[in-house]
Amino acid sequence: MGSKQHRAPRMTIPTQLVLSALLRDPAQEMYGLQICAAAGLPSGTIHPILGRLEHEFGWLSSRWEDIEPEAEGRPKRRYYRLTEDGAERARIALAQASTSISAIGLRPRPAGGPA
Amino acid sequence: MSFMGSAAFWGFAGIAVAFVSLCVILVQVRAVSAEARRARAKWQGRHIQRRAFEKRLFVGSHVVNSPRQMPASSPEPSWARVLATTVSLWAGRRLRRIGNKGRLRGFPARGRPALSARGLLGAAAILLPAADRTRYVQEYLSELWDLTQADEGRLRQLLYAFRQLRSAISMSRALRSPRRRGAAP
Repeated sequence: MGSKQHRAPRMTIPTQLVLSALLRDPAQEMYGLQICAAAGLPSGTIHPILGRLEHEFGWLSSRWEDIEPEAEGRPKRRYYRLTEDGAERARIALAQASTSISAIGLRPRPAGGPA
Repeated sequence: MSFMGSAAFWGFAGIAVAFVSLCVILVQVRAVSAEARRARAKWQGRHIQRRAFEKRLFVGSHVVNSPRQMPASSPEPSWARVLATTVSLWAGRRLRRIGNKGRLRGFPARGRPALSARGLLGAAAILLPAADRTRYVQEYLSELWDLTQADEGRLRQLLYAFRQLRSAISMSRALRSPRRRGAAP
């Protein structure tokens, strides 16, 4: 059985955009809508990508926001962040991608844009 | 993709489209039934006022209202609207049960996401593995809440929920991967 750590996801354009958005600041945690805005993708596209990166390849870690929902008046958010190993492998995978987003002129949007 | 896989995919897609169509129809029925309830309440109120007015005329008591102030009667809602009201109340309770797995009951009723969008997210969650269902419903509802607070309209919320429903199969495939390792809930 091959080691999971040496496998990489298929570098589709949406996957590259998500990884680029997360690699902008690997130490920063982002929740789903923030990643949508940064990558410029709809939410229905990014959640399966985040699920694969987290559960199948272990490149992401996630946690619930540490708040009291009743006190804040809103539900908790789920924050995602690249692991150290995941960030390194993401950079390598992006560099080796056959169809790079930079080659076709796509760029992730600055974080904090409209969803 | 093999024939069986392709047939299963299109079968699921057909079921999802039928479910979404049913949800859209129920939303319209609910709007019609709310209008029917208001019309019926208004009719009943005016009917009582009219009867009281006529009774005062026949009894010969002091007439307070002049004929000009007599409320105009509106037509009683049809049986179709009454049936639509009943169906929508039943459907609303079912959708509310599915869509409330994220426990939005503790939050103010005003400014909550649309019920139809929550129902669609509940339907998307049904396609996910049972172990991950609660987590992703809560995550989707949290994002839907953020959209609502950003003054996104009902259509935008429905679009968000429909996208989650459309990607639920691929999401389920990612979560059921045999190489998945345990993640923190």
